[in-house]
Amino acid sequence: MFLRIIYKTVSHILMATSIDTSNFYKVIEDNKAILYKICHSYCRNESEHEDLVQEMIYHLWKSAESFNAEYRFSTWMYRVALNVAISFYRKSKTSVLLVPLSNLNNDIAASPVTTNKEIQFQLLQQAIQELKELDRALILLWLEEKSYQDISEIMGISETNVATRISRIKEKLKQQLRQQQNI
Amino acid sequence: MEDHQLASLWKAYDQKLEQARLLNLQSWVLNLQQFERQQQQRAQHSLGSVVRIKTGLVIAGLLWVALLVYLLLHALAWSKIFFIISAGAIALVNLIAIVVYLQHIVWIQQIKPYDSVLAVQKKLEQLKVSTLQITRILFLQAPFYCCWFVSPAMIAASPLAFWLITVPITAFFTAVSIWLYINIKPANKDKKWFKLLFSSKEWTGVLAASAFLDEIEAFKKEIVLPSE
Repeated sequence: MFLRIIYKTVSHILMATSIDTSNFYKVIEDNKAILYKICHSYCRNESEHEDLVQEMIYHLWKSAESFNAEYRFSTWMYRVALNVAISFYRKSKTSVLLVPLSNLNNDIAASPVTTNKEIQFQLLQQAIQELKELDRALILLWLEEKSYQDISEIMGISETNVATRISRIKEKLKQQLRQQQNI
Repeated sequence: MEDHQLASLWKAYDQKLEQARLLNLQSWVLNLQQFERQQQQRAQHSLGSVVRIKTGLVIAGLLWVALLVYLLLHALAWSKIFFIISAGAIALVNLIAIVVYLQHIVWIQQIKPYDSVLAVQKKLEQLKVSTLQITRILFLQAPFYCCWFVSPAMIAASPLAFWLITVPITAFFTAVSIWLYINIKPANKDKKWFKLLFSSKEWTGVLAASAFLDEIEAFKKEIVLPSE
């Protein structure tokens, strides 16, 4: 569902313009997994996914013309995707209640959650969704194995600050996971 | 639980996506009509639409100021001194508001989604909070709407009505508008009068933006973990 939307959006944007389609298509192709994860982390329900992914791709495409080679491509892409996602989330922040996890994972194959690791994974997702917007961005980048230097460039804070904040968030996540497992 | 266990859990995400074949582009289907509809919706909600609204307000404001200046220039006489002062002051306040709107339009043009997350989010939230700035400026014109119709002849004819009705009302609005100009600021967002004044739905986003700005500032500050 989600990635079908990406495909539709990209196809139509590219059909409607004369920009170098092959490069842009490849960019989305190479990074669709992270776009998917960011989208899932900042959407409150299934119906918002479509809007957010289109918004992300639209801004990536729109910003592509002004892409500056002084930035690394991944830094540029993460900045655009996270900025769009955070703004989108804040705009749609009308309900305090989080979407039930089952709704958020509708896209994922409906295999029964049986193993302990799967349960832990879902708890981790839930715990991430409960973090504040900026903390959520930090931990997503860390989980995607970005270096502190990259995260610092993407977020616009010092490396030391990145390190200490991530350390705190990790502790918080671990604590929440432990608590959830004990219930 | 160790860090590598968290990372390993996250890696399971990729596996799940692959298993579910969610990343298989070949299975996606085109739907032109739906896309066009969503394009329109996005355009309506984008910053571009904010620029259009603010540009419209600037044009409306300029027309209003032009009308006031025109009336003012055609009323240059001692008998219309109150009108001249009031129209001049209202035109000036509106002109300042127009400048602030123009400043907002420049800010919007400067927002680039590929700048760092904190920089972009800060600019966006500042833009929302600055709506308060316009409001406090516009409050300043209130007292001039209370006395523009007064003339020296009217005062001579009924001085009691002037001193007992017009002057107190104008003085009251002057005091209130100056007080509001000084006190309408995000720092007072938790005070009762502020909540009462800005309780409507359209202000909720502005106040949330102010809270998020505080959060951004706190986020930028270095934190020191206690030594073990």
